[in-house]
Amino acid sequence: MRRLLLTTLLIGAWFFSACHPRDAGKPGPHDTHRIVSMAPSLTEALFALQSGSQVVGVTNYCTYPPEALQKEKIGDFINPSIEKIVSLNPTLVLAERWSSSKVVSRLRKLGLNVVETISPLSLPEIYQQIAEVGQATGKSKLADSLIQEMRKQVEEIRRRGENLPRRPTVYVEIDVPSWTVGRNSFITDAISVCGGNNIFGDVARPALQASVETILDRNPEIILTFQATAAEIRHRPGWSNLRAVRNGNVIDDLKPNRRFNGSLRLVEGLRDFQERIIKWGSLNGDSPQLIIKWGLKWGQSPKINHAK
Amino acid sequence: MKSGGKRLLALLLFTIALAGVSLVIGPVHTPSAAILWHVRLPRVLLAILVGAGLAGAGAGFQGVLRNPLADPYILGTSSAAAAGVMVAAMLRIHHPAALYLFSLGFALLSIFVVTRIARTGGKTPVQTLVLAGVIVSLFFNAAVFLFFSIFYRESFSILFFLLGTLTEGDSTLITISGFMIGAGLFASWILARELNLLTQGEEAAFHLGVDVENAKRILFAAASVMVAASVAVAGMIGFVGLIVPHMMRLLLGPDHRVLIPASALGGALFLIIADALARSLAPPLEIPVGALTALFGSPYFIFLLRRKQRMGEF
Repeated sequence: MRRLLLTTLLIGAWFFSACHPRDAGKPGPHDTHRIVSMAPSLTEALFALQSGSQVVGVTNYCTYPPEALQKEKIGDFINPSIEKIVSLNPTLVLAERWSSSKVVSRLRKLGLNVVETISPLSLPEIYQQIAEVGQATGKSKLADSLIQEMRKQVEEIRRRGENLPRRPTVYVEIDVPSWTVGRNSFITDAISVCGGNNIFGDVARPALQASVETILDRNPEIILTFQATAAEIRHRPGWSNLRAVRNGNVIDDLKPNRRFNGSLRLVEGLRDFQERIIKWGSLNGDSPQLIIKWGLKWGQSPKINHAK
Repeated sequence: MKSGGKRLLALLLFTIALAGVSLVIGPVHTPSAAILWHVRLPRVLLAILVGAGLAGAGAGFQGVLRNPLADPYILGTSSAAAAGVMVAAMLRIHHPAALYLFSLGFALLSIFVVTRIARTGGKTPVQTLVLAGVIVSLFFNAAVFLFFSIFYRESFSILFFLLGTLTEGDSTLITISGFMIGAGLFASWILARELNLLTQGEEAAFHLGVDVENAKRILFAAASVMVAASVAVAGMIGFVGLIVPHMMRLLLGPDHRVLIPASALGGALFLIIADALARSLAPPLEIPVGALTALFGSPYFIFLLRRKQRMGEF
């Protein structure tokens, strides 16, 4: 239901701004763009900002929205095929700003119009990236309304998170073995908004391979895994005593497109994950009344599913 | 041999003591029983096994090839075994037996190829051997990176595998590797007398009654088994097989009856220390232990090469 609401809101936002004369559907100067996107989040933003039809090339990692799969592939975003990009004859190449990437300067030397956006490490930076994509494609108004809507919903989730009686400690495994995120990742930010604390939030880097014994020592209450299954995690030697494993709070079924993407879909990921945190709270003896109270506070009945 | 035995015993006791001490070293200062039992103990065991396997294989290679620069990493055996592991992963064969068969098959193949390329006129000169090793190693590394770039989804785990890590906690795999390395070491040790005679030259060994071809075949096979078993659980950890046999030769002399077990113990000791550093240097980050061993190993390799040059062997 909430998802439907979100979709409606987003579509509404697009519709609203599409009515704006500056962004009217008539062919304008920007409709002639041929855009190459060099990152999945940029591709998502382009489609969300109704520039999907102008996209001529995407990376091999750009799998959302499904229409992106129909576009020409340019390779990955660190080592794309320069030839392929040039052959697509783009009028605009959108790339994330990487301190180590030489690709952008090479493309510029070849005379291409490259616009670099921020590479988001926090939620505000995700908004900023969407704004920058909007600016580059002449869809600033649309971008602004999208960001406003996103911000509103994220703030709602944040308020709810702040009202939780207890914040669970969370270990996120983005890849095996024990690859996780540190302070400089928007995922840590996202967990915090939902009402949890990343157990590696103290490490000042975006991603790290954590030592297994540190994970066991920090004993997370919720494990969120994107690669390994919950069963695999449970059967790892020494992991069976973790609070998350003992209490059945290993989450491996956040739908792939609900995982914390550095993009518009993040809001849905946040909602799903917050639901799990609330479920965790209820399983850990926080009184049902309290949970219902939060639900009333949000003006909706919380979806709490005790059955696995 | 008598004093050798005493020194071996001392080395054994020292290794056991150090293994015990290393159990309390790590990023977590007051480890729980689960951490000690399920994380550190398997790591220390793995360090002992893999260190013994790689250094034992190194000692075997150096003896058979009469070449101080022979080492599973330099000869390309490790890269080949790693390529085998990757092929098994690529074919989505997750059965442990397949893992070991692939890594062993590739390791044997690489040794066959390297010795074939390097052998000229009944001898394997230092230059051609290292050169052949480098070529084969480059070939298999390239194959590994090709798989790596195509099957990017497994990239994170494979990256660490390529750099060498002792985080594998699967007790089945540790047990299988343990048996393979034990068997390889035992076979090499049985042939220690032949190895001693082989270092005099193959002809001399033949005249002293050694079945040269057969002995060489068994020794190569034993070394390959140890390398394959090590790589299958720990990835590519370099230079253990190079440094340790040399240190042991300096400490305990060239007699392979002592040198083989001493190298195994020394390798275990070296990896126990390296892995204790790998897990505690930058907590809570995991550092690939292979990066540390290569960091110590490369300067030592250059030192050896320079010394050999000065002694006019090139």
